[in-house]
Amino acid sequence: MKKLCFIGTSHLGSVASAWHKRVAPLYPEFQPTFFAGPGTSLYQAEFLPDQIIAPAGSELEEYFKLSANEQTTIDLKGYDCFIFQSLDHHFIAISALCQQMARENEDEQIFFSEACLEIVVDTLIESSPIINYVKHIRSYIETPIIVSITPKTSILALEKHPEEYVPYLKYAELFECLFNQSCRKLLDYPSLTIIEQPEETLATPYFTKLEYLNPYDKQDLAKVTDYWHKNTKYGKAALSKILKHIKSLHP
Amino acid sequence: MTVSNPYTSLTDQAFWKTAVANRRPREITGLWKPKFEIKKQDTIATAGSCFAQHIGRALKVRGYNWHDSEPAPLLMHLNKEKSTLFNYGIFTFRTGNIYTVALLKQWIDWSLGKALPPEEIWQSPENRYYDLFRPNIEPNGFKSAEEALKSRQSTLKAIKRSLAKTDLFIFTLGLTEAWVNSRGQYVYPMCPGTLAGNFDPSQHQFKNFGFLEVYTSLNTVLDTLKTINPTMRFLLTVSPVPLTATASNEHVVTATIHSKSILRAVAGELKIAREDTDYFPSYEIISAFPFKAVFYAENMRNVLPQGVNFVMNSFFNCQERAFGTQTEQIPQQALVQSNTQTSIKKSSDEVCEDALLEAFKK
Repeated sequence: MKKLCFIGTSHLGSVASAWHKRVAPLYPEFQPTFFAGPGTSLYQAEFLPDQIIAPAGSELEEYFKLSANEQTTIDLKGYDCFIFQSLDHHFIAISALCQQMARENEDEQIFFSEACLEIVVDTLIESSPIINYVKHIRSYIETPIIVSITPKTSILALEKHPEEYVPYLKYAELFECLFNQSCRKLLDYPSLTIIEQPEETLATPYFTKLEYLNPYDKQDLAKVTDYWHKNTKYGKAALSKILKHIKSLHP
Repeated sequence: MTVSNPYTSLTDQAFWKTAVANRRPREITGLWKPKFEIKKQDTIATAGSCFAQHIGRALKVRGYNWHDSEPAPLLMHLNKEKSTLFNYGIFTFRTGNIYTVALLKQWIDWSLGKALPPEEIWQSPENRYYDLFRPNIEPNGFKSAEEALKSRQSTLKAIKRSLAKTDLFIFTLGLTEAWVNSRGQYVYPMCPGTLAGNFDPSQHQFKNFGFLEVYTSLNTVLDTLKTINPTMRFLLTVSPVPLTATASNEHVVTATIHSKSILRAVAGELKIAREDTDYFPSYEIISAFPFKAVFYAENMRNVLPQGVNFVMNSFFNCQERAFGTQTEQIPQQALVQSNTQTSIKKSSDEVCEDALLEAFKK
């Protein structure tokens, strides 16, 4: 039995749902635990030798208890693999930056060199809470680590607000390239694998297919405003890719 | 019998005995009688030699509306060191140091389309590209000549936009010595071949600008700026930082005094000649002999942080003495930036909580 430790943001939700609702019977050899915390709560963790702890009374403690069956401590020696779901592209910040760079009035456009944008992307990734967790784990143990990349926003966002995405799409390829380059640089640790969003879930290189969107029980898609979070079907696709990789590590 | 003459009614500050003699350097105060009030809501631009960056920084810290015409990309401020390395937030314009009046005139003329900048970009042996008019604007140059030119063009547009809204333009005069391109008749901030570029004696020539040239040129620049914004006012300062080196064939000390004397005289004359122009004596506060060089580092060139603080405290104290205390105001730019970041964080946190609660609800 391989013990898997999933740590992550809200995007871990779809993966956990997929495990509980669909995938668990297919992989009896794995025993996962899910430690999830929303947005910035992951920064609240305390890093101790061989342990990561959600401090008592913190928001993180509340969410760890909720997601990991009342557990609030991650024992680094107690797992065979650590999986992070997921490392963000920081889409909102990048999109805001693209809007500065592609203002309609050419005289108001701001130009940033590629070297400068590289620093911006590095800074964004360095500021992701996941980076601190990875650094901490790797400084104590050699257990394999998987960093899964956050799924791209739903194509519904583009369909509903095409104008808003014009600036982003103008620079999407550049930022994608900078993101990949930065991930490789900042996550260059032994036994660490970066896992991209499953190919079959993408509608375009920058948007996820509508069928993977989490509509939160809303039947009417016009009422959906969260285009980032994905459903159990997406979780299953991501999880299959992750578990397939883990199996290749432990044949 | 008391004889009345023009000196009898003067204040203590007019007399060496009471204003300077027997006083410690820090007790010599009140060197500036400001011509006009600088309000916290005034849009202020700073440019000039390296000492100008202290003025911009101090204004920002005190809540003045210091204008950054080309802010660092969103969230780059998380990495202040890198942001500074890329010359963001140092001067109002992302030009790097503007040491000479000729260079200031060149940037203003280029930004207003009065002259065309040359497409002179230097390729290093490492295949990085450097803009010789701001050679260290990016720590490792640009990836291509095209990128370097695009970046310069963006800066020129930002300068133009910024000048239209500037209420107060603070310029710190640094040097009279410069290197010019004799063919293209343009001026460089640094001698080609020092920080970047290749020195070519057939076209790179040394030029030490004289009083009349500096005076005329600066007066023309100020007139030009008034055409963009007729209500703009000007505050001139002279950098107390001596020359690193002189190409004048003089000793560096005499060359420094020659250069600074011209700049100081130009600033003083323009203050007298123009109602819209004032002079703030940061130069004297640091370098005048009654201050006994206490504000210089050991190399007698760099100004110590306490010197910068003393200068900037003098600046604000003199303003306050003349016009009273102003209420605190958060600069508009800081407010917009902070609101943007808060809303980005808030909106992403809110949706994240929903997603988690849905997945893990019991």
